[in-house]
Amino acid sequence: MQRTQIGFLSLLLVTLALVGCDPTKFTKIADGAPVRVIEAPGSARVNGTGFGSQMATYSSVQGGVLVSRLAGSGGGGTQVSVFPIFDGTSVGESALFDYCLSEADCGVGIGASVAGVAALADRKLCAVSGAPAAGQIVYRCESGADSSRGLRLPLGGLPGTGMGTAMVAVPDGTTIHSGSENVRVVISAPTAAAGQSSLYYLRDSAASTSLFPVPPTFTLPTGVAGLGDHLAIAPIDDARTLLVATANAGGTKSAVVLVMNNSDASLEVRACLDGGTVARTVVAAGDLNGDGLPEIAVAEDGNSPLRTPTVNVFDGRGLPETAAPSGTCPPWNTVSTSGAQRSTITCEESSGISCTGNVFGYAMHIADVNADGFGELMIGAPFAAVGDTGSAGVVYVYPGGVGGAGALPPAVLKSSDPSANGNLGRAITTFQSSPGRWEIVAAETGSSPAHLFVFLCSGLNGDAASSVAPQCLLTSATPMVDAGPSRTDASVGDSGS
Amino acid sequence: MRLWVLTCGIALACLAPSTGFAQNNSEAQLDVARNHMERGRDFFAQARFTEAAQEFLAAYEVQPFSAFLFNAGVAYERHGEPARAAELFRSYIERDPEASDASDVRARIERLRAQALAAAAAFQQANPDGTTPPDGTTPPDGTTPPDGTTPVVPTTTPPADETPASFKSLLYIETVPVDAHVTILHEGQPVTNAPTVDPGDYTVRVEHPDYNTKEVTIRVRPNELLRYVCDLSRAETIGFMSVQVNVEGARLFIDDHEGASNQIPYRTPLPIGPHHIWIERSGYQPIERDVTIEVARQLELRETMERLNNGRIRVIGNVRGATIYIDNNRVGAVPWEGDVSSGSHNVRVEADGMKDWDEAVEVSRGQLTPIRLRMRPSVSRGGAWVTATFSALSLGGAIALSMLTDNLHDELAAESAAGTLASNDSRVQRGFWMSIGADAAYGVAAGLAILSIYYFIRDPLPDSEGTILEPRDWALLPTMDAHGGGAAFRWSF
Repeated sequence: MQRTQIGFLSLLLVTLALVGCDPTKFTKIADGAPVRVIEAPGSARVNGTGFGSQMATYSSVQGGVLVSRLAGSGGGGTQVSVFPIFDGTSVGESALFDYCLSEADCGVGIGASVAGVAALADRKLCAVSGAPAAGQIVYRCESGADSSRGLRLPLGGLPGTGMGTAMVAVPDGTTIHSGSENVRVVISAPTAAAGQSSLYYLRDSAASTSLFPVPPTFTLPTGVAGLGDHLAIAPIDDARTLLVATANAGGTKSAVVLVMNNSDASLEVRACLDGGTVARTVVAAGDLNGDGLPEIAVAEDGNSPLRTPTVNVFDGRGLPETAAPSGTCPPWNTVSTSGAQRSTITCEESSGISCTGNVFGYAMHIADVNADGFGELMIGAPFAAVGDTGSAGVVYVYPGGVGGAGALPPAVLKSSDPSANGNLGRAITTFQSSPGRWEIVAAETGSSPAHLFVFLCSGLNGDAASSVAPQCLLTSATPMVDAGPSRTDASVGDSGS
Repeated sequence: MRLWVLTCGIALACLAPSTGFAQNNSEAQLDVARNHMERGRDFFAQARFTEAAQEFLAAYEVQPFSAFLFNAGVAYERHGEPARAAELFRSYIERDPEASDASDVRARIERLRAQALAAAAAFQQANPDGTTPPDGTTPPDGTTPPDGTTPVVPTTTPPADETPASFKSLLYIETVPVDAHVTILHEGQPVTNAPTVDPGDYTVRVEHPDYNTKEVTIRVRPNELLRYVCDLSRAETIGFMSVQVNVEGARLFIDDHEGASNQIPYRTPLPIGPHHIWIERSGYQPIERDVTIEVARQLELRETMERLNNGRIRVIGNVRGATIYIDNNRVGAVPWEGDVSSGSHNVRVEADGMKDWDEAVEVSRGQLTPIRLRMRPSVSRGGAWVTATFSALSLGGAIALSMLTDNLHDELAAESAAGTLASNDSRVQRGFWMSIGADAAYGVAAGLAILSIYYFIRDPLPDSEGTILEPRDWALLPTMDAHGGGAAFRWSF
């Protein structure tokens, strides 16, 4: 009998040696997960800071490799953190630096908005943040003068103007540093008093960086106030940029559509968009149908969970050809040679995700995430319940096409491990990972700590994961430097584009 | 009992006290004489006449019957020693002057003496230097032929049947009761020189006033010693049987296998006729024979006993009731003895709380192989079993955890392939720690298994000991005590 027992136990030992578990297979599968998750760094990890509610990305070609940065904050009064979001091959999940939470020269209320620029004068890869309470902006760059700390402009600030409430980076058509297009950061001042400029821009001035008001030729249309709670841009051509600014137009106008001359930052009013009676309108701009003209998406009443959320998409072909007479603001052409210029996207129930009270359209962004030549419309619904998890939040990705967004059912992006009240989709942006392709970043601001979700696969045609390639990243066979200067793509505020 | 040799009222002396047939001395002497007689006959048949004569004379020394002298004379005569032959014939006549062939023997003596004288004369002529002639060629009485003369040899010719067939035989008759009257007739005439008789058929009549007369016919062959015992009270005609075997301690059963046995070597008178006998000895294959006893003759049986094909094993030890297995078959408990086939066997003894004893035992044919055991306490394996149990439980837990881990990994892999898996998914960490937990459980199981093996192997106590003693014969001994009789095996160490 003793031999039998010893034989059994020996067999047991052999079995143990053969069937041991490898814990690294989980780390491997996590490393290969198609959804990269970035935790809020440092003090932003504190519950309630809402890190990620403001995000902006910007890129630069360095050594032939496209590198991207993501600047994010939790809103006014929070630190700004900068991540090396993409180094050409993978997503960086550790912050490069934070600034202005404890530095004496940072304005009070910094973090209310962020933008990023590839270059500001002799400085490169700069993150700009607004402190509207003080009427100041603060920026910090990775190289150049004072790269170790944030710089505040203007000295003394513009108190009461709300300057820095929103900002976007607009290429100015010049290149100072090889591979990095110089930009002009357009900053809103929605509470500027009469006679004060409601828009400013930040750009280099040969050897330094200065803050400038928009040219005095620009005047707001009659009856329009509060311009620029949200800003969105999209290129019209190499010389002009479409700038959409939300506005308070007496309950009838939700946004003002402007065209900016890249070279001198001059603005002209083209149209005003209907936005209904909104307390908070979100806009996004980008080419959804591939015609070269940017469409404009406006989320109606996106901040109210009590109403059926809808998103109106205005076809770019409805953009009036000429500037509106001074003081006027014509409506978007609703009838053109191509027919109806406005479509509506309404949230539709999908498996396990309810539209009720999900605040569909709380954040929006337009970018081509599947490299098919058409921009996709990403709409955040941060209060959507996922299964039994309330307010976990999702992001709808409506594929663009010849017929524009909304013609095809959306892909729904969510966390595989949703957090209650995580509010995924409260802010959305993208970063460029290869020529013609952008990756989606959505903030889950309500979790503790907050997270930034990088969806490497949108699930759309041509951008679906597989067991062989769970991550849908495309490696750039052609050096980015040969593809021309990269454009900074920054999102602004809770919405973005 | 008295031995009768009646010839014209001559009675031989009583050879033994009257205690049945127990005349051991006489019988032994007769057996010795018979053996000499038979050897002499054999030598004679081989033409070794001198040796034959010496055997006859040796028989005479044991039993002084005249037939031996006659037969010795015949042998010397055939050997060419007429003087010695004549002297022996003369002694025969002196010993038995009323022999029926006395006149013939006397003539034969004369012829032999003449031959001896002639031979001596011829020798002297051939050896004038006075060399003594070979012994036995001159007359024993010292007569010598006159010088230059050649004795006249009687014309009487020797008997034509000077062969062993002419030898004298001996016929003994014993009676019960001893005062019975015995008459021996040969060809209708009373025999006068018994017990010396010539070959032929003889009628023996035994008479007594108190018993029925018994009459038998006995055929006497040349040079034969016959002994006829006539027990009138049993109304049986008795013969003799002698049994010898190659081993000691064998027992003989005659006609009744369930009855009393006799020790071998065995020699006894038996009623004439057919008999069935069994020869048995423990450890040997029994022998059965059908025999026929002839009147006045002794049947000689010399048997060779073969050992049995099987043997026996006996197990005794310090733990009474310990279970005994032979070739994995339970056969009994200590103490135990039983038959097993000869050859090698595996003997295992088990007892609760004791270490097993296991050994190969060679069992000899027909012999008993004793085994003496001293069983030792076994080490308690409780600790080993406890650790083995916990090891198994740990292993079960580890396997279960592994399966859960694998399922979770598969689930995550599927979500990863679907493009929805987040790198911070809490299930990843859970799976990671479950894997470590499973590995830890495997490790615990392995450690406990090793510990269990150690506990199973560890044994500071001595093994059970067994002594396989030399195989020995066994014997079935008759027993008798106050409660009755029977048979029992007895042994000792």
